[in-house]
Amino acid sequence: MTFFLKQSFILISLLIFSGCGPAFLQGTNTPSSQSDFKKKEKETIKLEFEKLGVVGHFSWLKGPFPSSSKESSFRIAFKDQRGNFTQLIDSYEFRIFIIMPSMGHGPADTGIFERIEPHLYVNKELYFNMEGDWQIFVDVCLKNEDSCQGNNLIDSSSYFFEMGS
Amino acid sequence: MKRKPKYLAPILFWSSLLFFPLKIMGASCCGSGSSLPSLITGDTRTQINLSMTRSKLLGKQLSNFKETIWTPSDDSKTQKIFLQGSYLFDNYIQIGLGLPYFFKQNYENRIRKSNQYFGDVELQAAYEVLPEVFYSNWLPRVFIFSKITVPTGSSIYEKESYDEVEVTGQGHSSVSLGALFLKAKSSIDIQFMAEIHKGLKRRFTKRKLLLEPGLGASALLSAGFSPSNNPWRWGISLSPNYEGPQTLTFSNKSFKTDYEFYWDTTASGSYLYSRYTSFHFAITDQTILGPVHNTSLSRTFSLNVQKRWPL
Repeated sequence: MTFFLKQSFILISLLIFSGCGPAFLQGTNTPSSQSDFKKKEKETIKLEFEKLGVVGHFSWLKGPFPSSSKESSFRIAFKDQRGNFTQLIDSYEFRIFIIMPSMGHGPADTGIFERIEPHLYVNKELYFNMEGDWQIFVDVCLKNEDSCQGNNLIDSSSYFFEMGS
Repeated sequence: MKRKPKYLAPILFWSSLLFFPLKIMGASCCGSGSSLPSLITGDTRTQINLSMTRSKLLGKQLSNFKETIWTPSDDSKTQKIFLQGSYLFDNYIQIGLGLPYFFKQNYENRIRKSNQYFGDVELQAAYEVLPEVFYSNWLPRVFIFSKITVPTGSSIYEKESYDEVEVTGQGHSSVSLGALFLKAKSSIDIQFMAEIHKGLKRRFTKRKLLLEPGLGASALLSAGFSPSNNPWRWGISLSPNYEGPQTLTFSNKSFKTDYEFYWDTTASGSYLYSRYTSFHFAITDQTILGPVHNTSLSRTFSLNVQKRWPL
């Protein structure tokens, strides 16, 4: 029994010790070029709503950060084809849907999407949870309808991006 | 006095030590890795495994990124208690039940989150198609098994938001079918397992989501060594795991997820305390072998105790 306990103690100690370290290959990566990603994010992102003839000008206010404890936020300003600010008619509303398509899950917190001005919307308190491919859908739906499909879905556009660390 | 065959002792010994649930933790969340069931292989009517695992997230290999993104140390940990029971009806047919319970913690930017919840319940059945009725130098014992996973855990599909600590299950039922080959000779044993599984459709009414899982498969090659007359067994195993793409259909849009692929590399030690009690220790690392694709990578330390009752 003493022999068993002694060997067990040594074995468990070794396994716990070896399990505490970093990944064996950690640090062997070449650092990814984050500057290219950030530069791309600064460019104007346009969301085309072809049926309505509206363009959403998307820009990040904070982030995007791949962290569930660091707030990201974005704004969308809506303009017509001539470049003038425009707004939805009263019976329509925007709905936001955010997903990581490759893994099939959403962000840690989708946040609050609210209208600041008639043509300007902000999504604040948005928390992503990891790096990778993300897609933000902006749907134009019939107001106050539970579902946004079929005739209730008026128009839709999306922004696909890759978030670095 | 009748002498026992000289091969009987090693067979009993290997039977006692081999069949712990070798793959305790899966990749993304928790449930996908336990494809090898805990089988009764000796003169045992009932067998119970109690395992405790501690898993640490090491990094992620995302589908569109070539490089692995390493996770800062101690950010995300998962503890799992897994109780498994198996019952042998006759010499060939057995059934089993697995009940997992998770304790999860995440620590990021000084914000600590924790959660505990049930995982996915597992039901299994196995049949020994090629028993060892006489000793052969090369003929292995062969079992076929089937496992049903019931989605009793909490999955990433329940809510629009995704909190890592809340996820303890795969979100859908699945059925697996596999075969296990076992050969023990002298002080060495070799196991080979291959299984294929199919997830079943599930509708999440609250989210207006129809989840259509794909096919998955995994294999395991394991080798063990025990010096003669020694109650210890030391083993290593390699296990590739594949999960096919899933289709997610929301009310007005549809997505196909990317496939997931990773390798488990395990080093283990087992100790036969008595004829009906064994202990097992293992460390499984998912960052040693590749390629890996669209998955999180973790390292898991596990401690098992197995209690058996004779026929």
